[in-house]
Amino acid sequence: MAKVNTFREDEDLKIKFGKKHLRKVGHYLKPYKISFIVALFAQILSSAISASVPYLFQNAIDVQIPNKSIKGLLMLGVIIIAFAVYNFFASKYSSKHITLIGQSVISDIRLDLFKHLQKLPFTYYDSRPHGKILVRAVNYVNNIANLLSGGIISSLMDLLSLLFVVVFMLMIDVKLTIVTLIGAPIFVAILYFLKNIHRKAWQSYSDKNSNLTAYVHESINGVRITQAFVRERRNSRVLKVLAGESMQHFMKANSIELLIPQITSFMDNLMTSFVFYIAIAAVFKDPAAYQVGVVIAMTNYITRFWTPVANLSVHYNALITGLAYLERIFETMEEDTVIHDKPDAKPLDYKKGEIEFKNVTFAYDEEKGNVLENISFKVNAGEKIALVGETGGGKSTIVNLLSRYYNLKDGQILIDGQNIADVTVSSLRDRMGYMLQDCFIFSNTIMENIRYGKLDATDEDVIQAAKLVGADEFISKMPDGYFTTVSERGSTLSVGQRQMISLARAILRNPDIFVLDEATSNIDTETERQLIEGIDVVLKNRTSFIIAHRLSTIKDADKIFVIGKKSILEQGTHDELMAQKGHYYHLYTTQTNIQ
Amino acid sequence: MKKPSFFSELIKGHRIRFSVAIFTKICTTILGIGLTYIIKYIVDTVFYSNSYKSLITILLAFLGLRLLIMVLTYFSSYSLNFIGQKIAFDLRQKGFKKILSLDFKYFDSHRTGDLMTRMTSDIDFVQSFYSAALPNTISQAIAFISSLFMMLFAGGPLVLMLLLFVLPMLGILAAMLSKEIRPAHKRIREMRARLNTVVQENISANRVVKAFCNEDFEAEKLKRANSDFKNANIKANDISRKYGPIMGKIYDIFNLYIVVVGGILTIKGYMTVGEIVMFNSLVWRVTAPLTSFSNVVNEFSNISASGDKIKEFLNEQPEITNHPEVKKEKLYGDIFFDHVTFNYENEGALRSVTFRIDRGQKIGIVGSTGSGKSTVINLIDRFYEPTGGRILIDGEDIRKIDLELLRNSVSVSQQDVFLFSESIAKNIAYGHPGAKMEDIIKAAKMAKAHDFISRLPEGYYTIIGERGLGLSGGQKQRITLARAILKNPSILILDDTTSALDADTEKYIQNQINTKLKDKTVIIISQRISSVKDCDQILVFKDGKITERGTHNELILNKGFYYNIYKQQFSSRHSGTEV
Repeated sequence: MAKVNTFREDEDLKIKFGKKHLRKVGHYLKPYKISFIVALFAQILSSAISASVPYLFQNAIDVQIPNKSIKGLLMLGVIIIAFAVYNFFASKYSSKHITLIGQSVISDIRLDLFKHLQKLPFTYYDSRPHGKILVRAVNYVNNIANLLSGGIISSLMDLLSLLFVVVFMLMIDVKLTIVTLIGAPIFVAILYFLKNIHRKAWQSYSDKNSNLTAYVHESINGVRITQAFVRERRNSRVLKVLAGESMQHFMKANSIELLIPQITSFMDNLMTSFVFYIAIAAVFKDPAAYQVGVVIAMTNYITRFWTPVANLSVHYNALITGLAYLERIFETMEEDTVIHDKPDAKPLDYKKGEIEFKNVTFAYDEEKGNVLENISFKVNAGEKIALVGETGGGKSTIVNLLSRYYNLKDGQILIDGQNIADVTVSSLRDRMGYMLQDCFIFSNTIMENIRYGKLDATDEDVIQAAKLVGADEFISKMPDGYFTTVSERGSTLSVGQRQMISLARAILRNPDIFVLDEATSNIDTETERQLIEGIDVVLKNRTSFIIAHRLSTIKDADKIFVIGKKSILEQGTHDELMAQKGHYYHLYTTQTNIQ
Repeated sequence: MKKPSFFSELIKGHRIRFSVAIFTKICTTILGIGLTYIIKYIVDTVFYSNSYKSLITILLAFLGLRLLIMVLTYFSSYSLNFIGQKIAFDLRQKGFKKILSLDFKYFDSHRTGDLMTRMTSDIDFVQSFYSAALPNTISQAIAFISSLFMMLFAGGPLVLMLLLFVLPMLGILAAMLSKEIRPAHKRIREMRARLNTVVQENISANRVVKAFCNEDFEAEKLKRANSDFKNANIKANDISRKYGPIMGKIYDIFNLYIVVVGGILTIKGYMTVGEIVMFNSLVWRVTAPLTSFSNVVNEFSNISASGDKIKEFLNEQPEITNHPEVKKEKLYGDIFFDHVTFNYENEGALRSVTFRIDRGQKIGIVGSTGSGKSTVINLIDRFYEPTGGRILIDGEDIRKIDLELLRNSVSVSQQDVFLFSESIAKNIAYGHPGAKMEDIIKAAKMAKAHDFISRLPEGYYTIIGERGLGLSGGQKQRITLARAILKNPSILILDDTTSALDADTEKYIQNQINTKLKDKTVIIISQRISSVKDCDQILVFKDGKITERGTHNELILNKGFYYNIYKQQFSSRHSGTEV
């Protein structure tokens, strides 16, 4: 077992956001670059137009009104109308594209993230609360939609409008412009100072929030146990602590974030005061120094200068929050899949199903010692192999290794003479039919649940498979038969019935190598007997592995391996092992000895 | 547009703070208008009067006012966020308690992903109603009204005429938008829940997905949910785009009015330049709330879609609750099933089942898969209510026994093992959180889990993954068993607990139960004859009915179903393999 994270601990962030990730963001935006550019240009023009409004206004006050030119005013009116019409279409158009980009990008990111999740090994899922994975794939991804579309465009826009504003300001008066710009570096310095605390605050909020989500998720899944053990009040207290922590960290991050718009508006006013002071002082000395319209336009532009700055700082906030999410998303995408195809991997050339374990040594975790040591055995094509032995002895591990769910520490596993580490993972697993200990039922109809084993199977095939494992009887009795909807952990199906459905699923697959890992432990003996008979028909001439505790089910196996102490203690047929009077004999007699 | 009762109920207890915050926000809005006045004063008076000395005082007043506004804004924003968070915090607790109180029946038909959506994004949206949407709307409305007054004061009837023309148009557009966008937001919400479900199930099923090489199929599933979600969002944007840009043109109309009409009026001598300037700065204030009016409509509709879902969820009532007068004395474990009938949906899971167990007895239940064995447990613990008949414990109908007492007195070691991602010690102590380490170890020893636990590098403090992944089936079962034992119940139920255990381990556990839990009522459900053969009474279930009952020897003589299983499981004795 790898180091396991729980809802109590924050996760360590394994990556640091850098150039590589910026490029990755670029990569996701690339397919939409035309939409992006068009939306951007539509908006650039809009903002240039908006920036010219005070100029028009100044013109009205300083030129048209003193000249008493009504015609001039009307001309200005026409220009304003033309601009409005343009802006109407531009905003319609760019809004459409910004939404499209944002939604498409998160949809792409989620799909990639999801595909990557499919490749991650069991250990990834075993070592953290599932709620923490869920929150990354759904909530975090949703949260960055705006950042990656509208956010980027608006930031570019704001930068541009800053530029426009400065140009217009320079056109009006250079000296006052310089005075106005003094505030900018001060502001940037403040932002820079806040940056690290701000970002850390959001990171720790997202951690706390993820802990909270993980706890809620686990509590929903485990609600039956919680009620049975009357833990409702205690668990509510745990939730209170977690929700409280999440709230505290939010408020902390928020208290920093709220400062920024305040600083910008103060800067705005401070600069306005300077301009007034300088202008009026100048006018006092020389009444011709500034016209009133100039000063007004100037103060107007100061506000227009600080508005995009304020917007930028809002986007900057969003960027900081978004980064905390993006980091988590990219971290998951970079998580090592551990089991990958070798560069020159070829598909498995399956012939008969001869399997050989050669000096196999395995450990789940280097530090925790080997689970299997130096195991070797050979299975001939078409043999039925039974694995018995103490719980936790490594029986399931052996069959999991066969499908390469884990990499070996040492040794080799060969199928028809080919090392499974050298063939493609999918071609290997395609040959296998697994009936796992943990049988998962999707919230869907029984029909679809069984069909999951072979997606192109017809309804008849599905029913055939169900009949083979004796599930047809109870399924037919259900209200909607095969089309009854069942749920993940609902009580509609008993555990034994769920096992039968998973078994039908595995049978439907019609695999070449079959693995039954305690597939029938919760099924009654009579049904089990029928079931085994049914499976035996399917298993004929196929290599199969059966793990079972009820030894009556495996007596007729071609070989029985007794697993224990990290290796194979005994092997042979039932009769041979009984004659040896060793472990198997002991196991068998205790189980069958009624006294 | 929104459900006032639900949203006003949530604010209860925060009313004063909320009012203060809103009031402060309104103050900042009004003080902001004061800033405009100062500018007008500077332009109109100082500029022309050449009273240079008063300028510094005025500018200092200007900055002082700004500082005041800053502090007030910060205070109100912080308070509003705090209130929003507090409401979310309360909702989370309420929602969580609701989840824990709902019947099994509810969870049989509701998906985890759907519940997760309510507990995460839905609550976030409702939170934003208090921290952003509502206060912003209020302050914008105030800004609008106050600026309007000033404008009327300065501009007279002409402005009014314009507004009389513009406002009703705006209202109509807003109403149309609101009506049209509501279903779109509802759909986004649904699609978000579906996305949650697809991802959630995929994560839980990761082993199955790999075992069947169905990664591509899963990706296809996500792709569909993903693009449905995307399309729902785009659809909502399409609708809001039909109205938003038109509604956003208000500013231009006013601007046009000021430059052209205002200019002409000034030329004619009806207005001053200073008035136009002030007008100009007020126009933005008047129109800003109106231009973003479509966003407000959008946001409210979005929030109310989430609010509805949370409200609906919180109104969900568990069917199984305490009777007003409940028995609260200790239970000893006499159980009587009196003609109990139960249907999950419309199949007869139990059909008029009657049996009696005396305190301290050990009872075995066997039967084929789906014969109703596990239903018996779900009924004893009152996770479901019988459809007919009654269940008595110590002679009292369980509906009249305090629910907590009942569940505390019954302990089930479930066949569908669920462990929490916590340390093994905490998992074992789940039903008895204050348990001492030595008690935990004692329970683990009885369940024969101590040996393998101590062999783990971190022993009892080893953290196990969600659902105990990383442990073998038998190990999980033994932890579950230890957990059930440590609860120290009057009635202990083992639901196929030993199915993944080897014969030796099972035998050991049986001995432990027989010697150390002598005074407890124990019900053992099993597929194995060896697990039940020593019981005082064995019940054989078939199709929801008890078909045979008696001791092991009686049932063997009976030569019925029980005898047949016995024969199958111990066939070796008959085939003569054994010595």
